[in-house]
Amino acid sequence: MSLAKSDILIDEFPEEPAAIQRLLELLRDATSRVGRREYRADRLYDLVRPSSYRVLIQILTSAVDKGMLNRTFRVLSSSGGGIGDFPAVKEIPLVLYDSRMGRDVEVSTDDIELIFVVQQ
Amino acid sequence: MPDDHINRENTVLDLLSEATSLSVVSEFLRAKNLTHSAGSWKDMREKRLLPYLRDFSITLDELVTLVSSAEESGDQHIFLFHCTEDPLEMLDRDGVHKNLRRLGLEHLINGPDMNRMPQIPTIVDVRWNTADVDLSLVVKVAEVRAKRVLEKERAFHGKFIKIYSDKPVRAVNVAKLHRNGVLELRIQSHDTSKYDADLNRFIRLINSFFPMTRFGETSLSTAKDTMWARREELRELIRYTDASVIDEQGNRIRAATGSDQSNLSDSAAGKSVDYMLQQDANAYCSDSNLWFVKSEKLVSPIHVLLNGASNEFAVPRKCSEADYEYVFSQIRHFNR
Repeated sequence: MSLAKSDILIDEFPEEPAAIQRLLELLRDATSRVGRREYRADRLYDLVRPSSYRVLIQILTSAVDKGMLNRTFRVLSSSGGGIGDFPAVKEIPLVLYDSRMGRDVEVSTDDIELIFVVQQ
Repeated sequence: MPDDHINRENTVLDLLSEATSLSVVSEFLRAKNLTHSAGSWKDMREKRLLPYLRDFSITLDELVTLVSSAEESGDQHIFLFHCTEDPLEMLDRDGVHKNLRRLGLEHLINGPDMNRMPQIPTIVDVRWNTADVDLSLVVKVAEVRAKRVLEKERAFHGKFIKIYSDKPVRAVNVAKLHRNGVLELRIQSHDTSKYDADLNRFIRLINSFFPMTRFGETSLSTAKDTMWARREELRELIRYTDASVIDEQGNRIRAATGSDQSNLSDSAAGKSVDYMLQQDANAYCSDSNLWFVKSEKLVSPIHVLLNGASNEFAVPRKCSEADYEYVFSQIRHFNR
């Protein structure tokens, strides 16, 4: 991870030094291991412990903009598990093939989950 | 009997059936040592409530109070926050009255607005729960939502059309700030699982009472982990029907009982969730579907969903205020 990006993130959120340090530690740990790590926003709230959820989203948005982690919108099958990852909600089709069920399904907003991904 | 009294009586009885459950009204009658059983709302109205009103066993004001408290309990998604500053300033009566006057809501100082179907989301009640001191401040917003009901499906010129009707229904959202700084934002449930937009709209309405920059979200992850880990010991208190666990790769295991009357505590399926939690230190309980079991302290079993946002839980069915308060206190207890 670029040191400059970390420093910029710390400078951007001077009132959240502990939360930023926890996020950077999490990113360092995740990128040091093989494979991809992914987190829902509610999980990151528990791990990063910012002052509020609003601040967490601001921090994560900035980190995504800097390429420190990726954001993806996952469509979930009613049987459990994802059936498609998309970079933006507007790119999700109305109907999607559910490989877990073996048929096309209509996508509802209830089926969409926001995921943050860290890749080595 | 004057027409306006009968109209008010009908409005209150209508609100009672819309906003509460038969068991809540039955419990209210039982507490007054009155015959309380009724198989339907029609029976409850015609065989119990109307005769009791006529012979003064109960009063209309008591039913108004019951509506007010019961429509605030259950059938809600509850979001928990904690105050990062001194909460007592926000409980101060002079400050709240000044804010009400500034908002043109000074009539609420004298009591709630019983407007059943306000045209726009409206603050209809601002009140304190008080013992020796003010224990909490409640701000209630009523709104009209469209409940969409499928009426018919038809094929038409190569298209398939579903026709829905929108039925207006009253919905109530409640903010309650406790003296210790805990803030509950209760949003009445609807047919979809996402509540971000409802929560943000509600926060804008009540922000002058409870400025949200003074609050942080209270994660319920400790309660989720603790209740699941202690489920054998707590089997007289809690019954699990679903539990999900997710690891850092996004893999998930969901254990679910076959019958919704069963308990995962008895099952190897539940132990498979334990196994994943033991094998992977980064795996965590993401979603739980559980019931608080009927007991001396709980009149009816209460269904609770622990999923969604980190500070969110849901009580999907209407319940009595006392039952809600009991469940809320238990969740907070296990979240310590």
